[in-house]
Amino acid sequence: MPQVDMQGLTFGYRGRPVIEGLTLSFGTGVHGLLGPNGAGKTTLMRMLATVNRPSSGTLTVLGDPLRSEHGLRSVRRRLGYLPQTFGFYPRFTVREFVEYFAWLKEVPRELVNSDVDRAIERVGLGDRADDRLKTLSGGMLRRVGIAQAIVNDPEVLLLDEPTAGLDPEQRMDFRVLLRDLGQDNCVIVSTHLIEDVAAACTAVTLIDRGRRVFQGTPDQLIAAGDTDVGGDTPVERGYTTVLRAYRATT
Amino acid sequence: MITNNLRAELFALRRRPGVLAMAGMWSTQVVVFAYLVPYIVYLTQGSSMAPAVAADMISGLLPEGAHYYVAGALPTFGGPVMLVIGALLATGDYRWGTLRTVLGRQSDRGAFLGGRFLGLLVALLPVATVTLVLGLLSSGVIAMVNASPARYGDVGVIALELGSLWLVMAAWGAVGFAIGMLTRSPVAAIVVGLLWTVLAENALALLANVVPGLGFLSTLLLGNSSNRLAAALGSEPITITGAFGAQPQGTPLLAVAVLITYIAAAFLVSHTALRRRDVT
Repeated sequence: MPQVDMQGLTFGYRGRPVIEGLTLSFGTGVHGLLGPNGAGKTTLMRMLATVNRPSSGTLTVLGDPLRSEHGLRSVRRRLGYLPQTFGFYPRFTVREFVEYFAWLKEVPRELVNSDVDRAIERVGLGDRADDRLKTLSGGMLRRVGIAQAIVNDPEVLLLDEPTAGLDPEQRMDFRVLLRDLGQDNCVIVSTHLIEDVAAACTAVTLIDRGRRVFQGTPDQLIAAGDTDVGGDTPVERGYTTVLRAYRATT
Repeated sequence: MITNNLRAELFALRRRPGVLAMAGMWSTQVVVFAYLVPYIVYLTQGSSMAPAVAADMISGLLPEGAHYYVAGALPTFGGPVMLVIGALLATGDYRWGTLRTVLGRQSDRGAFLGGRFLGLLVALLPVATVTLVLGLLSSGVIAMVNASPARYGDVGVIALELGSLWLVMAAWGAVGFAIGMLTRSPVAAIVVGLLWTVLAENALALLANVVPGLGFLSTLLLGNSSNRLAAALGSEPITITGAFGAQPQGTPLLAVAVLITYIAAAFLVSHTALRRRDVT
């Protein structure tokens, strides 16, 4: 059974549809969520994170339909979420910030310290654990955001633009982390950086204007590429070809 | 569940400099404005005062008056400080843009708010304790300097004052918290809160005094109830100018009920604002 399943999901802002009848499912592995600006990626991530409630359709996460308050609570305990816009308390140290979220996430008291340390180590910030957040670079803050999202070992991890602000070396490290996380869990990564998807994801979903355009493996996306459409890498060509073909038919 | 949230909020309080600064400011106020300045006035002007006035003044400053004296200063001077503390705690996530991140980590948004609100009430307990201890210490020092006997009230009376201090602080803090949740801005919350409690409340109290049939209105006001509780401990209302120092109305029990109602109402307002506006 997939960890995330959506059937005919719809959502709009003030009458303007953003997600239109989306039917998708995500299982164990790392899933790249691609799409142009305004495609509805962040809205979809927010619905999966239970921040926004769908206008219609069904959304089932970890076997719980997200309709009742009980279902929402049960799912939220097992979710990890890094929003696109990630606020932080500047005076907190890295450790304090992650610990604060560990408490909020109901991590058992006896596990808080070890889980916090492990999350910080996994994002490569062990040597900066006692630094205040206001002294960190944008890329480091992003990694702190990832640490708070994984501190409770979530079964479904949602990362909205996690690699924004990371330098090339950090992005490579992040891909290793993603692969590691995706071995036992469902990780959904929304991003514009399609090289990250090709390198780290086991599956790719491409959406445009709130509708599904493509769902398959990175190799399938690459195979769909047409050399005539341009693009510097095979995955860019695949992305552009599929997107343009879809737009031509709608 | 709410235990974890409370623990998280108490943990986070250590890194909220605004809240700590306000608590420190209030502690300084207690020592300087409730004890040091009045004692200097007594030393320099006491001989020219009417004997009864001078005796009243010094008795409040000595340990024998410690069980009511600080409580008398709280509504006018400490209440607004607590209101600011509540507002700062409520608006932190709006200021730093962390609400979405925090709520994304929450299994129960009511528990999140409950934890934070409870965190405020719990945090005010040490503030009330420090206030009381500073009052007891300051009065002891004045007794020593003044060569007066250090006769403190019995433990029960002092415990009653501690409870009263906390309840008054909690009510003001809760009101600040609710206004913070409504306005989502620390500055707006502080301005609205202070305008309400300093100006609007006194205007309403004045109205209640002059318009027949509106007397009950006074008993429902935060300032009046705080003063009434202090008066029950033996204090006269202590004011900035004297203009707000009308004798408080109602019974002590009613004052306690009103203050508890303010706390409950503040939570309901905050919860409703969060549910209806900030989360789905």
